[in-house]
Amino acid sequence: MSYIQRLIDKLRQRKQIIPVALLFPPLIYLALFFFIPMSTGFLYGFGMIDRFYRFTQSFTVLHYIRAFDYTFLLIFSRSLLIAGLTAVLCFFIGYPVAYTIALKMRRFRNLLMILVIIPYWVSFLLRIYALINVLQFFDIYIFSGLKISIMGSFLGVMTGMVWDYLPFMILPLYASIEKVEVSILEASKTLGASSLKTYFHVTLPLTAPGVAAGTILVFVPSVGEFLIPYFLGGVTEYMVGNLIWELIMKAHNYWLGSAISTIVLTIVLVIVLIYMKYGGGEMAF
Amino acid sequence: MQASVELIDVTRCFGDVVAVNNVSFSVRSNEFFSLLGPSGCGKTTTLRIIAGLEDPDRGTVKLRGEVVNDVPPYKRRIGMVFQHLALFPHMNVYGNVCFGLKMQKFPSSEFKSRICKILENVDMPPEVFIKRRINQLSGGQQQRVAIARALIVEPTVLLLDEPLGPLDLKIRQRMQIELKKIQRRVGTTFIYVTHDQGEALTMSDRIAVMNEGKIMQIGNSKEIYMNPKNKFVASFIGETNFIEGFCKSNETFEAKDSNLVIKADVPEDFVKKQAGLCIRPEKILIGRSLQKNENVFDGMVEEAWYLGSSISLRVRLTAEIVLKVQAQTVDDSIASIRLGDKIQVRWPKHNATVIPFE
Repeated sequence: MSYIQRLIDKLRQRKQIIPVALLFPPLIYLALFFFIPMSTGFLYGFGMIDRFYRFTQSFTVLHYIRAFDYTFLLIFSRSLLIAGLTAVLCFFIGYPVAYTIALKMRRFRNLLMILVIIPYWVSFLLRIYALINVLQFFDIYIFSGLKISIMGSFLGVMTGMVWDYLPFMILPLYASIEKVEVSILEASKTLGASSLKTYFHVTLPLTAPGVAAGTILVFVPSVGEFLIPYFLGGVTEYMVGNLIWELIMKAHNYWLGSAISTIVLTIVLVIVLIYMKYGGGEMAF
Repeated sequence: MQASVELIDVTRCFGDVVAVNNVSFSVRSNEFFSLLGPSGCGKTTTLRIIAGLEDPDRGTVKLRGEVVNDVPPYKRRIGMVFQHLALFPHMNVYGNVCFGLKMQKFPSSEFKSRICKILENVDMPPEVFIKRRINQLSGGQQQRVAIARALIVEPTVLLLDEPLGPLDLKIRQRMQIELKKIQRRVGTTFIYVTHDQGEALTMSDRIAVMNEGKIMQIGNSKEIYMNPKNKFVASFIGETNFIEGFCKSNETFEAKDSNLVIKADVPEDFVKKQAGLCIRPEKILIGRSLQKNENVFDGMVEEAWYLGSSISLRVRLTAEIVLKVQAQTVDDSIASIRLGDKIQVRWPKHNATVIPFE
């Protein structure tokens, strides 16, 4: 084999090495900070390790059985309800916003999208305290007469959830609506479809991937949310995130906390998979 | 016969730009009518005004004799084929073609038979294509689906916005003939927007040539080509020779800056006025020594390209006048013309058109 031939072969080999090498940092990162903690949690749930990460040589499903008690089921179903409602409300508020920015106000769309994102440049604590101030203002000057209060109620939690997660709905919706060719919507109109019919038969099906992405982006983190119910709800509005947080950080019951985390993760995963299979790809309207 | 589409003094501005300027025309039933002009001349805007996708600032749009200015596009009963076709990517061929029937509430028992009939009319065997997805079709096939989708609701008029633009030349030429065939078969009024003069001349019954928002001339292919009304039409459609000069009488035209006197049919309005004379390159006869006749001039060949079936020349008559000449190579005496040869040119006076001087 000639010298040049060997050089070419070496270069060729290097070409295949580079993409693999580029994958290494994220792989190590994922292994260290995702895979190991996740499996630790999983092992905790089955009582297979103790507090000091030592294997206990035992296996129990006791924590899982204990997890399914009334309090957990109540709090978890409330979490699913709040998360689902958040996703639905974000969709109904976010779609018109994304649609208007993407199609009706094309000239200002960059500016408007920045306005949607800008709140995220402010720290969460600042934002939540700002919101608390606004809600307290309403409670004191408007709702006190009606003898109700938003703060510490279901309504307060919902307000906070929608307010915080709305951009996660608008961004993917905007991205998919923006790709719709205006002439396709015009074609629909020339074929006899009114604006409303065009929306249901053309615009919505064409942007279904954006709807699916937005819903999942809002729903999944919403289920595990614990800061918003902590700040805006009372004990009566606790979500599953708060339950896990209390169990692990206050009661130091890592085993039960981990079991609950695993159950939540599994159920959310199943919900998302079902949604993606039947609702995500092509919405049947 | 009642006009199928009629525009009366339609004007549309975008900011300071007058996209459509006082445009009036009427299209007869079953006519193939083309709007021809360079890009930005307002032809697409005119089409969109007919469709109702754009509102005119002034003027009246009539469909089937009724004023439709305030009728939204989905109630106008028109069909439109868009420049990039705008087929629904989330539906198959059936879904696309069926869309109009569903929206306009045709009886669903007729869907299948109507769809099969229209697909056959555009030469897409339904049994092969009905279930195909849009991205499984070639450009020409997508074209046919777009036409079928627009035609299925039996529109008063089919509006076509440069639909052949994205296709390559061969398919485009085939589709031109196809379109004309489809139009004859279904007997619907077609309004066709194009910047391609060849396309317009081939297919149209009548053509409206547009420039800068105005209609420059309306007429059938032959009128537009043979009797252009102004310099724009003369130079936009095909090649032309343009000689500036003065009309001395109703049959003589004197070229500017030279004493070349040309016999021409000068209309009464042009007598004793500045004007231009248009002669098509292929209407000029050439020879080494022509018989003494009207409009025989001596010239010198400045450029010559042999093109096989024809020969393309530039012949200098005077210091100012150089004529483009396209001659059939009927015999070797013409095929063998070379640069620098002294030849004679001639054209019968009815082959030249007098147009206003600009």
